[in-house]
Amino acid sequence: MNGELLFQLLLNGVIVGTLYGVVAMCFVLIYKSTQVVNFAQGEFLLIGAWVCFSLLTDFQLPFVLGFLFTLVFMMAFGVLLQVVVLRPMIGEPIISVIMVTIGLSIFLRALVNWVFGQSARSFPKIFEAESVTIAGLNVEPAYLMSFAISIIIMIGFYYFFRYSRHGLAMRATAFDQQAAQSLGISVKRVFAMAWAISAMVSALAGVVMGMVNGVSSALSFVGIKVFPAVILGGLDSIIGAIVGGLIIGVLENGAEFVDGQYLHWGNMLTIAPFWVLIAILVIKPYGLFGTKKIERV
Amino acid sequence: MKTVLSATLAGALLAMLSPFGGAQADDSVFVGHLKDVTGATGFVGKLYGEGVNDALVWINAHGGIDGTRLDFESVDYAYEVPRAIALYKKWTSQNKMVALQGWGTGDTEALISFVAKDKIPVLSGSYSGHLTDPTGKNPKTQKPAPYNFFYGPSYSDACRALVQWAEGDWKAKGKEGKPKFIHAGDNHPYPNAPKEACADFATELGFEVLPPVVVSLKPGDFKAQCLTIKQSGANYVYVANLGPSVVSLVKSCKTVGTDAQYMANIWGGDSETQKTLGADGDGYVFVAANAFWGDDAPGLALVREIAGSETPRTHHYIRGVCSTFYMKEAMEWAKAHGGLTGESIRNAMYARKDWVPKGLEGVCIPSTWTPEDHRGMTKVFIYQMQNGSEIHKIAETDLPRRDDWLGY
Repeated sequence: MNGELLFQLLLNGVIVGTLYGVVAMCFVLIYKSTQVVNFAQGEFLLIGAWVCFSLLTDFQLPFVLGFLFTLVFMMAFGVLLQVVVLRPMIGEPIISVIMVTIGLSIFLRALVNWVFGQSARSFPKIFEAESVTIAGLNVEPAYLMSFAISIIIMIGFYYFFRYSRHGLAMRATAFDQQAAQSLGISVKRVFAMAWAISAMVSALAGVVMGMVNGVSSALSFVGIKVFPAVILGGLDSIIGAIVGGLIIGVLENGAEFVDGQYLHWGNMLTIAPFWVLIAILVIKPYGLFGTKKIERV
Repeated sequence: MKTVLSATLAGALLAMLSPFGGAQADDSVFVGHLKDVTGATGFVGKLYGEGVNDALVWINAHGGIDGTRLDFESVDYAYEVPRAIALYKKWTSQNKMVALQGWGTGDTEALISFVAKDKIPVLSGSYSGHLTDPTGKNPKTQKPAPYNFFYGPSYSDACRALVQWAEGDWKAKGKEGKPKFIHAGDNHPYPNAPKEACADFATELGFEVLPPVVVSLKPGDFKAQCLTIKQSGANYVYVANLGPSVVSLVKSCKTVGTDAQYMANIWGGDSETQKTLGADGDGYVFVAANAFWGDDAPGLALVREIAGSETPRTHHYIRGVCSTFYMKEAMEWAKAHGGLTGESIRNAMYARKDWVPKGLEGVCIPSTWTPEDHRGMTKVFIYQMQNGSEIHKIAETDLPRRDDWLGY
């Protein structure tokens, strides 16, 4: 067995999986506070990547400034979206809200194609080094940047939901909107905050992926790719999202090893996460860390 | 007044209801145009589709088909086979379509039997080798395709030409032993089309053919696949995908330090891809089948006129123009020899040898289709990206018309 290749693939799985985890967290953040699965998450990535690209190339801003402006823009975009599109849907059946996010996804993708075009574009060079070698594996500096930021975000989220007033307000809102409102929590503000943070964090993932692979409308597919990680971890668990992302990342790479070295079936990298997803959901329908709802019937 | 109005309305109603009413009455024929702008191949589908669309508009603005207007509909079917089939059925039943400008391999191959039964000639953007055997003469042919045409070398022939070039490249570099060849593409009809045929020829030339690596048409992190390629020791990687996916693959492989020569199919290389790759694309080789925008070819004046601007267009756009003009001239011939029906347009495709549409001299490569062989050309141009922004022709291959390569 080629141990070196396996190790490199698993390491790559952890690095890529961390980024999946960040995107999965964005799903969870919205679901946790609003009970809505946002199917336009991939488009948030896409918009963030294109906005940052545009700031760096059209406006010639330095990366740090461009990146910060992108985060601010995305925060405002998230709030605007919630206020204009989703706020009127409060109180409507969940399925209607989910359908709105699907419509939003199609609309945003078309809008981005119209504004920025179909062609893929490369980010200007941000880091001096082409790649950094870790235990024999060459990794793009953008991934290391995202890895570091992701860890900070994950820790930040953990403390935010556990100890901060806003975080607790979000959890309370997710648990019971009416009860939360009767205790003085502004549900509208909580929803807006959830969408703002989710859009902002998505932009981080979009920028990283854009730096590594180029920016194109195809970036939005990451939203769907990450979905197994979300379900696997549990739709309402931040920790679950991180673990789910890591599992999917490692699984993909592990499957590539088995397939590339022994089976030669092709497509294993794509399919394996879904096999495991099905297996886990059969055993734990709410995901690894999802809240188990028990209703009296 | 009331009588005149009634008579006019009755006449219009009769014209619409009659079998020769509607589109036919004002001397027009319907041509369908399937394009992909928003689907998995939209990156190049948009460019090629614009070429077809602009050419159709130009033809109508210049007298149509000897006075017959082309009533056409360009629809973005998002690379979804069911949508393509639904559109095809609508166009044949409601619009009395006489010819189709098609697009993808999946849908074109799915429609082979339909178009053969309905006698609708298709000029597709798919160059699958499976579309080149009209009679099913070769036992390897999956399905005879008597009404399928395309302008360009088949994917299989293009890949064979690349392998032949690779053989020369290997020797020129003074390397010894068996060069290793690997196919990298999605598990889709389009990337898969030349897989077996190309592997057979590579084996025939003495290459060691490695198990294919599956790389999604959607871009992503492909370091895992690149590590597999690197570990396998592949020297020549056939890139079967296109656009952003190709960019991801090349960049990911550069990161992990894969030392291989990338050779792409006709859709996998162009100036847009090079813009994104920059210096990372240096050495990248791809296939083309027409003159480029900046070349010195007399026919490019007409291409510029069709494009309506001096803004450079990719070779995909130009190929879209070529494909449409072959259809135009076939329709002109058909009109003069028995009428504008699908069957007569198909027969018109056989009427000439080494044929270049009028006005596109030096742009489109002379092509010949026969009732026995729908390989319009076996000449393959090979281009290479150099110095971050330059694209140069590095080889021109004439492949033999082997019977065992027909439909395969």
